[in-house]
Amino acid sequence: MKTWLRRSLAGLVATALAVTVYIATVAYPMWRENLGRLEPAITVPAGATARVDGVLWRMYTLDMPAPQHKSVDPPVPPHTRLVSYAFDRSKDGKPDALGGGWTWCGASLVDERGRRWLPGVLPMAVNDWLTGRGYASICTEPGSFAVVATVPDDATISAIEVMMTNDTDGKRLMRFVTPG
Amino acid sequence: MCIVNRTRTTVQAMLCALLLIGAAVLYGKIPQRVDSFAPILVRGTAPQKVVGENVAVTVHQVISTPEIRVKSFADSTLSKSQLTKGRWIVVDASYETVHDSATVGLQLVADSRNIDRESLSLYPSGQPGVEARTAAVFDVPEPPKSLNLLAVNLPNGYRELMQGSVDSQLVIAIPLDMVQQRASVEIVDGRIAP
Repeated sequence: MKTWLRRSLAGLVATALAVTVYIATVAYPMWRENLGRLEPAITVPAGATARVDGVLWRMYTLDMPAPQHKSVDPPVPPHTRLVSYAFDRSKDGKPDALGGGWTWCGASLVDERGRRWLPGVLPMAVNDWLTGRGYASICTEPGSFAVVATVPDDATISAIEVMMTNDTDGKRLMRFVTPG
Repeated sequence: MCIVNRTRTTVQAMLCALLLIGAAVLYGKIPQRVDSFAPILVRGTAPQKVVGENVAVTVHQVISTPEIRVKSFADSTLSKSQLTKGRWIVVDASYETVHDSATVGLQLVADSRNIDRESLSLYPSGQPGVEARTAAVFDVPEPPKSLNLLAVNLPNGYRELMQGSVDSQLVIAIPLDMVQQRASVEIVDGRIAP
C-alpha cells in the first residue's frame, strides 16, 4: 500500500489539484449564481413584513370588486377567476421601490402544485379600479403595486414571488407566502 | 523477467490508448449545446388536444379563404379587408401552458413551406390551465396538400430567468377534410367572429 501511494503520489496530487481548480472556477461560481435564483433567497411568512435593502415590504390580499367586462376586453376564459394581491413598500415613511442597486423586478403567482402565472392582460375595469386607488401595475414604481392574474378555478395560490435583477446580471428571488 | 515487464508495459500502453480513443469517441458523440436545447417533438392530430411539456393546443376548425376582414373589437365600425393572391389559412385554436406562463408561438407547415403567423393582433401569454382562443392566420401561396401546425414556447425573459429551456414542440397534423372553404372570414380582436 505504501509503495503504491509513493508511486502514485504525483498522480494523486495532480487529481486533487484538478478537482480543486474545477470547484473553484466552475462548480462554486455556478452554485453561487443559482443561489436565490431558483430557490427564494428570502421567504416572508403570511402577513409578515420584511425589510429588504432598507425598504419595508408588506404583501396582502387585495379586496377587489368583480369587474364589469366591456366590449373591448378579451373574453373571460372558461373555468377561471381573477385573484388579486398587493404590495406596500416604504422607506423612512415614504413610498419606495427597490433598494440595493436592483433595477428591475417582476411578480408571479405560484400555486400549491408549483404552477406559475404572470399578471396578464386585465379587463379595463380592473385597471381603472387599481389606478383610482393608487396601485401601480409594475413593481419598479415606488409605493404600492398590485398583482392581478387570471387563474384556473382549481388553483390555490400559495405564494407571490418577486424576482429582482440588476445591471450586472445579478438575480434575487423573494417569496411572500399568501394569507391562508 | 525483462520480457514479462515489456509485455506488461505494452499491455498498459495499449489499454491507455484504448481508453483515450474511447474518451475521444464519446466526447465526439456528446450533443452540441443547440442540440441539447432543441425542443422534443410531440405529435398529434387535430381536433384532439395535443399537450407538450409546457404547451397545449387544440385546433377547433381550419378555414381556407381569399379574404379576411379584421376588426379590433366587436363594436368597432372600422373593418379592414385583406386579400391574398394565394389563400389565407385561418386556424381557430385554443392554447394554454401547463406549468409556467409563456408566449405560445404558432407556425404552419403547408406542404414543404414553413409559414409564419400574420401579426394581426398581439401575441398574448399562455397561462397554465387558462385556455385562450385565437385565430392564427397564415398566408399560403397555393391550396396546400398537407398541413401541420407547429406550436412552441417563444423565449420569454422571465421564464428564462426562472428555469432552463428544455421544452417540447407540438406538431399537429391537420386533416385536409377538416379545412372549410369560405369566401370571407371576419376576425375580431384576434378571434373568428361568431
